[in-house]
Amino acid sequence: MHILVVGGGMGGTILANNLARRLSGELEQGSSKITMLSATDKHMYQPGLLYVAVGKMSTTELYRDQKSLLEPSIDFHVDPVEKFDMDNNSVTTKSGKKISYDILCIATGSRGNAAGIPGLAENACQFYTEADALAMYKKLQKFEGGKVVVATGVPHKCPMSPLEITFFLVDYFKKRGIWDKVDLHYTYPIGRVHSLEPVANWAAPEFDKLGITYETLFNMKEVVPGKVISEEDSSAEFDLLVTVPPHKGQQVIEDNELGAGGFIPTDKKKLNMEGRENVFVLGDTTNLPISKAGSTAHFEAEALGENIAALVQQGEPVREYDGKVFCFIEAGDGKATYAMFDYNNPPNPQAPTSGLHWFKTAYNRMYWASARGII
Amino acid sequence: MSDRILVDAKNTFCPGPLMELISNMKMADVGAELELLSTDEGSAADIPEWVNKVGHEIIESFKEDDVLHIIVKKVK
Amino acid sequence: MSSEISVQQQVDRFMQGAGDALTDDTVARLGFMINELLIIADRITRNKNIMKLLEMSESKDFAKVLDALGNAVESQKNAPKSSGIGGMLKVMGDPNVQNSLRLLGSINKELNK
Repeated sequence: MHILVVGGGMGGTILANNLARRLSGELEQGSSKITMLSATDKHMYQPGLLYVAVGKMSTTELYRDQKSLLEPSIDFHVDPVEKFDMDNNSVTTKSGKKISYDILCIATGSRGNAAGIPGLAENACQFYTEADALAMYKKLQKFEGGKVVVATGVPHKCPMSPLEITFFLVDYFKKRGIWDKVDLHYTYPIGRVHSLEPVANWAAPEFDKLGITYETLFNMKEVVPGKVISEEDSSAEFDLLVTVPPHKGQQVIEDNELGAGGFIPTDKKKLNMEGRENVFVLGDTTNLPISKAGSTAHFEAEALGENIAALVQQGEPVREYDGKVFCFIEAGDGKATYAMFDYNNPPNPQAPTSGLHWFKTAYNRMYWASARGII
Repeated sequence: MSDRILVDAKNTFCPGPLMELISNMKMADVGAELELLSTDEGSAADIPEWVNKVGHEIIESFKEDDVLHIIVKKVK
Repeated sequence: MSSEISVQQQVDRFMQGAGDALTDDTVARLGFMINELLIIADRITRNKNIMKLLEMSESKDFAKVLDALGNAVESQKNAPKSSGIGGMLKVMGDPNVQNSLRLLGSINKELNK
């Protein structure tokens, strides 16, 4: 059996390592093979970018060599896929190689698409790439006070980031001693300050306490210098605009017409691509109505690892993905909490504590063990 | 209608039915119809609120087996 | 100050103390160390050769081999240097040297199996 994993982010890496552990016997005998194709030889810890944007983490801590994170039995190539030929179970790579597979796993992820909203890229700070996070930090360092607006597009990666960046901005301005010169205004696409109701119920009074104003049902339509205008015919003026931009899937998914917006229609429990039994999708690449977050990719990868190994060894899958998501929520002031939920159980987050902030701080450095499939 | 875009947000909490609808509305062409499925209690109120505020159109809304179906047309 | 404090109060005080003593940097360093230790432990426990080496290291023979190696290195430092064909013949006649050659021969045979 040849298992081809396309994408070397969190989901692809955890899945490939999980499979390499489960199928070590088959890989040694040569009856199975795992190949990974990625666009880069570096692996980035993406959640770290939020910290880079406010000067809490350095960019050198964000990267490791992809090869160093993979089991030695995985055949890794920096050669991204350009064409999917699913009827013939093969892909064509950038270098022109044609690779056949028995099982295909697509984990190409999503990317910020500020260009989707006129004027957003030119007028806002964002933190979804290393360059953007660094540019945002530089801009913050020069900021001496005024109106700051946080605006969020949909869909977006990491549902906690709009709140986290807001609380981190408060910490940052307080540390600089300019908090009294800042008017912080938070906007959010739906009718409360966060998609999770209990989180919204906790965050709104926190905003009130800190003097952060907010407007809900605010979806960016256009940004002009100094002003963001919403589809709901409202607007907010700013001296500094911080955005969680709308996201879309990778170009290769759109080019191959695998799904609208670059998101592939996926079965919510089996995680196979709709209409394809031997193609699995995980992480941000799915069109599932669940959080686009590292933890989603992680739990999906574990369920898929078990299932694909069972398919290889027994010919039948053994479990279904239950929709589990676990998200830390940095609450500022050295505290954090978390939200955990699945398809059947709603989240029930508790008050933030410093212990959970340490846990998150430690996890930021323990991610690599997680990517290797240890924790 | 066969070319209706189905947005199945049953039993999902985050990003939730309204955010899913907004995402899918953005990707759809003007004139398209979307059918949202939701088990969230709040959807009956907050989805029409947003749809009306932005100026899209609610075609139909009904409940079947505890699942709320809301059919929305993208007007602009 | 009362000397009777509940378990909960003790836990609270411990957490308070830990919180005051720790900085984000300390926690980050600890996290980094745990990460590296986990990866090393994972590599070791899943590497058959290292596990075999560890297993071997517990046998008495292994300790003997290490001792012998240590002693040999030591005695080599002090041994007078013999040279020429005469010297070599003399060394070859030594029963210890013959034993060693036999051992090397059998290792070679094992490796070629």
